[in-house]
Amino acid sequence: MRNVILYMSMSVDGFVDSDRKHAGTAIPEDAELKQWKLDRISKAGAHLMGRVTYQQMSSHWPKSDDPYAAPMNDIPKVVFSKTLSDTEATWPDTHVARGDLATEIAAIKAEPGSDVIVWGGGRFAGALAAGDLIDEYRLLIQPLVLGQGRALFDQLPDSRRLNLVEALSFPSGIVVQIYQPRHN
Amino acid sequence: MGKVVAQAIMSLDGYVAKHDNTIGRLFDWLQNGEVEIPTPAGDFAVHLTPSSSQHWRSSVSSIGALICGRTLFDVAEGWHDPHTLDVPVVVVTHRVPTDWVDAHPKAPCKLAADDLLVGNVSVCNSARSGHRSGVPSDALTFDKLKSTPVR
Repeated sequence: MRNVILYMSMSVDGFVDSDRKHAGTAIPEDAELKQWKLDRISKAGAHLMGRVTYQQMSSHWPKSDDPYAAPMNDIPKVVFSKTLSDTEATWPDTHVARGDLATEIAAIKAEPGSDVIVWGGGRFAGALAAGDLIDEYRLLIQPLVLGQGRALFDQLPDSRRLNLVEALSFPSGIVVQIYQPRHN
Repeated sequence: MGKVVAQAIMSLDGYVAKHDNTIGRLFDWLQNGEVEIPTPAGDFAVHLTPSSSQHWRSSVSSIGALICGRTLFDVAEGWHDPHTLDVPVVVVTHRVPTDWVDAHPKAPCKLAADDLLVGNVSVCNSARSGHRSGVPSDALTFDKLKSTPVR
């Protein structure tokens, strides 16, 4: 059974998107962090995302020569959408998942292959978190407070205990905090 | 000159208390390890993991005074006078808790009438430590507070 791993930039106060400034783009990523991410992204079994993120990424990565482009373009994508048609899913190697979230994730986990990465956006990742469908959270905590915005965990029905796997700090001031849900 | 440090025990998603000011599991880490450390005031002991105990020792030893708002003061019931960390506590409030002061006659508390940041101030010195024998009400300013000697 392969794991579902969420990569998400988050402000110190728990927001993943905001009108004020997007957490992911406010702080430039340092070379060390980029390499850390590339080493892991390149081994992913699939990229999972919601429709909006899919449409942003599918219009960006095929034209990009950034080192991130190859693992994004070459690894299969799964886009979760009830409205996106197959003909609109133009990024090569895309599967549109239209079913119930938990059922679709269970099917993906049961397939052979490497662990899969969830990229968001915030609402999609929040729904997965609320459904306890994420096996590992790799949160890139930005040295930034937003004060308000879209919270990753505000759809949770109750508080949840996590186990800290690792905390890594990078020269940019970004701290990668890796957690797994504690089930007991 | 001391530094003003904002310290909070916070959940991963940025919360420091529930809406009703209870703390849920946020303080569990103070009692889930094997290293026993009595609090500076001696009112109880914390039980921390080894890494948490290092953080605790360096953090506690660096604190010269605590500044809090009236809500925390009320929720903590004034820490029943000496604060657990055995340092002076400055409560920034428009409503000086005179009932509490009256109910704690042994606490060498002074009420400062001048404005500190937003309103009246009550200064409660720990009865046990005697680090500070009271701050004259006419001399208490934010800079004065920052100059409080760190033990």
